[in-house]
Amino acid sequence: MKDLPDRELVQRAKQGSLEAFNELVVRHQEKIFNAVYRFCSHWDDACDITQRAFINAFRKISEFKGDSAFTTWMYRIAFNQSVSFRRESGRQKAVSLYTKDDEMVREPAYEENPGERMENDDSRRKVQQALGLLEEEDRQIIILKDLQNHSYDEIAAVLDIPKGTVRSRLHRARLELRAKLKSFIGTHR
Amino acid sequence: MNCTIQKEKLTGYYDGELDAAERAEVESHIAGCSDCLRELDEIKSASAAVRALTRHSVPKGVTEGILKSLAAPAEPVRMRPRRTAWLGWATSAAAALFVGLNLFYFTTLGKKESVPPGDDQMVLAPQERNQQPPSMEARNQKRTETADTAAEKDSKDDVSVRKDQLKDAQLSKKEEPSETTRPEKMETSKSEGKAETPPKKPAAPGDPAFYTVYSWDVASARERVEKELKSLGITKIEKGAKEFDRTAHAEAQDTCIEVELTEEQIAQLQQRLNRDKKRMTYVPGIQGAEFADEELAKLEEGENRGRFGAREDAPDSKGGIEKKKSAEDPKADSNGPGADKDGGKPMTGGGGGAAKAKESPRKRVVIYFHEFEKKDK
Repeated sequence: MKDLPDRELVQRAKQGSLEAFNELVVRHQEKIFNAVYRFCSHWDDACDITQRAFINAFRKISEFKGDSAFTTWMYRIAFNQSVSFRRESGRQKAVSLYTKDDEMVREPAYEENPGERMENDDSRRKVQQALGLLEEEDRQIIILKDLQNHSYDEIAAVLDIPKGTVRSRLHRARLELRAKLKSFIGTHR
Repeated sequence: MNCTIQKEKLTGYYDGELDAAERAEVESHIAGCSDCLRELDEIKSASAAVRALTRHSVPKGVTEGILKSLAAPAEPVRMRPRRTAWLGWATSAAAALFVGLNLFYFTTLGKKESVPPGDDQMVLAPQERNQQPPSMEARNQKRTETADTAAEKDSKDDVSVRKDQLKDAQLSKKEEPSETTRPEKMETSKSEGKAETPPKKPAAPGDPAFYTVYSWDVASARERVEKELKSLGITKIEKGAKEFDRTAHAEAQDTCIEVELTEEQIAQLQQRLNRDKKRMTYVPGIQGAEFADEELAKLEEGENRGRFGAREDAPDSKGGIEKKKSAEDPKADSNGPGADKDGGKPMTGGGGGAAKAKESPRKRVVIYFHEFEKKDK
C-alpha cells in the first residue's frame, strides 16, 4: 500500500478498500492539518475539521473523478469544511492565539533550518495572528503557497481560479500580511 | 516613479513563476526602480515569515479518530485530542464527560436563570462540603492518578449520561476525580423536573471545597473576590484548575481561582460578598431572596437544601426554597460570620449551620465565577 501512488489508492478506496484510504490519510493528513490549523488559527478546531474532512472525503470518494490530484481535492474539502465550521461556531475571522490560552500558543519544538531561525516564538505567533486577520481567500492562497509550497497551477486547481488570479491575489495577500505584521512588530525582516 | 510593469509580476518573479521574457522584464525594471525593489522586499519578507511557521505533527488522536470513524460507519467520533500528553484515551471519556457536565451546567443553568437585568449580583455559594485539604504540591500528582482511575471507571457511565443529556447524571462521587466534582454536584441536583439525589461521595483527601460566585460580570466579580481575599490577608491566589478552564471547556464563561482558606475566612468572604442584599436577590434559599427562576430554585432541593447561603438557624432557611419578598433586613449585614441571613452560609454545607468560632485548618477552596445570562425582559 505504501508504495502505491495516490491515484491507485484512490481507485482502491473507491472500491471500498479501507486500507487504501487509510494510507491516503496517513500520507496527507499532516499537510491538510497544518493548512487547516493555519487557516482557522485554532488547534482544537483544526483537529475536528481535519477529521471531518477526511471522513467526508471517504464518504464521497466515489465523487472524486481523479482529474486533479487527491491533495487538491482534499484541500478543497478541508478549506470548505474550515469555513463552514467556523461560521457555524460563530468564531470571528481573526482569532488570536494569544487571548487566554497559554498552552495553545506555545509552539512546540521542531526542526528548522538554523539559517532561517531569525524569529522567536513570539514573532511566529504574531505571524499567525496577522494571517488570521486576512480575508479567507487571501489566507488560503498564502497557506498554499508559502506554507505548503505549491505551484501556481496547483493552487489554481485547489481554489478553482485562473493562474493569473493566483498571482494577483497572492501579491495582494502578501502585501496585506506584511502591512499587518508591520503594525504588530514594526519592521519585519 | 512611474512603474511600467504590473506589480503582481514581482510576486511571480519571486516565486519563479514567470516565463523568461517576463523575468527579464522584471529584472531590468527593478534595477532602476526603488519602489518596486522595496515592494519586492516586502513580498519576500511576508513569504519568509509564513515559511518560518511551525509544521506541526498531526495529533495522534486525530489520526485515530479518523481511522476509527472510517472503520465504524456510524456517527463520526468527535474527538479533541488532548493537548496534555499525559491524558490518554482512557481519560478522554472522563474528560469528555466533564466537558459535557460543565456545558450542561453553564448552558442550561445559564439559560434557565431568567433573572432580570440589574446591578451586578455576587453571591458566594458553596458546592461541596467537608473537604479535607491536601498540600498544594500533592495536587498535581493526585490529579493525574485520580483522573486516570476515574476515566476508566467512568467510561461505562459516559454513554448513559450523554444519552440523557446529563440531566440524570448518576455519578458516583467515588468515580470522579476530585477536581471534577464541582459540576457534578450542580448537575445532579438540578436535573429538570426530577429531584435526583446524587450519591454521596465521601470527602477524599485532596478534595477542595467548591464555591460559585454568581454575578452579571465575571471579570468584575473576580476582581471583587480577589480584593476581598486580599483584605482577609490572602495573598496567594492561584488560577485554579487550569485543566478545567482550557481543556474541558475553553468556551465556558467561568474562570476559577484556588486559594487556601480557613472555615472562618470562607464565612467572612461569603458575608462580604453577600453583604449587599440586592446581590443575593436571585439566589434561592437565602432569606429575603426572590426567585426569578425555578430551575435555580431546584438547586435547593434534596440534600442541597440550605446550601445557598441560608443559615441553619435562620427562620426561613429550613424550608429550603422560599419565595419570599420580605423587606431586606439591614441588621443581617452586621452579623458575624455565619450569622448573615443573606447568605453567609457556614461552611458546613447542608442546612448551613451557624458558624462556630473556632480555629479550623486551611483547606483548598476553588471558587468558580459564573455569569448570569442576560435576557431582555
